[in-house]
Amino acid sequence: MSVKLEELLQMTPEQILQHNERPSGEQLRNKQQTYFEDVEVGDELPKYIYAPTPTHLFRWSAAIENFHRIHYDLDFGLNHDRNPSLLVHGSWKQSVVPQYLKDWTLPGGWPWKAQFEHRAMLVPGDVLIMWGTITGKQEKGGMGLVDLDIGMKTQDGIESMPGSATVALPLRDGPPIPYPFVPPQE
Amino acid sequence: MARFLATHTISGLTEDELRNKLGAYTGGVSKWRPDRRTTILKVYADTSSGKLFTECEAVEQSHFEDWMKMAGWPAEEVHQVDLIFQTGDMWRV
Repeated sequence: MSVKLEELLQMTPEQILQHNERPSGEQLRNKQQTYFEDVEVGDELPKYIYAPTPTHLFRWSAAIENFHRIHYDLDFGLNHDRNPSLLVHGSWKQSVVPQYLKDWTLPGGWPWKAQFEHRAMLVPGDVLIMWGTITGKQEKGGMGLVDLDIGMKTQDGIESMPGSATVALPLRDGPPIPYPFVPPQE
Repeated sequence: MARFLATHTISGLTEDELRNKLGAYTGGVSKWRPDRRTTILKVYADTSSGKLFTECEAVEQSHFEDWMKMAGWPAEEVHQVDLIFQTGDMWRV
């Protein structure tokens, strides 16, 4: 049973970590389609919980070849940029969004568009909650468009990435979502 | 932001108390980062004598003192730091 975001924020960081709903690869491969008719405004998406460590940050820096020292050189971050610790990469947070939306719309839906802002500085030790809430839905061009508020909150309830998104879910008796995706005509 | 260094003498100081007061990475952030602009950077401890040296980055000294109250570690002295030497690097903070 999925826990509401507000309930998660009442928990300790250790308890929050117990409620990670990020699916395994096997679960994604066998995922049942969520149809447009299955969701309602106000529904919350599964919460993905992350607890980045310095090792994760170092690995991300290497993977994307971003060698800014604030992400792996603690002395530089503290004493030169006066940051509170190593900083979690904005690009890593950014990478979570399409993954999160893609996972939810699999196998036949499509994450159409998303926008968000980078706000609070995140440091190793923060427990992060990727969340989404349905704010609107409409049928258009034979597909179900679902609007979402999305974000990534810290264990303290600070919103580090407020944003919104629109995904396309198939209608239960409708045609498949086109691939490559073609947005419906306005 | 400013950098502060404080000295303390805590009788009966143990490793368990240090771990409890400072937490670990996951789950302990609020113990060493009590708010978004106050960070305890480093704590040196001599548990045999109860001596502690704590280093903090904060907007003002009162924020550091708030953390000391939370930890229950009153300071004997607090200094604002403006130069740091560390293994070959000199930082003006």
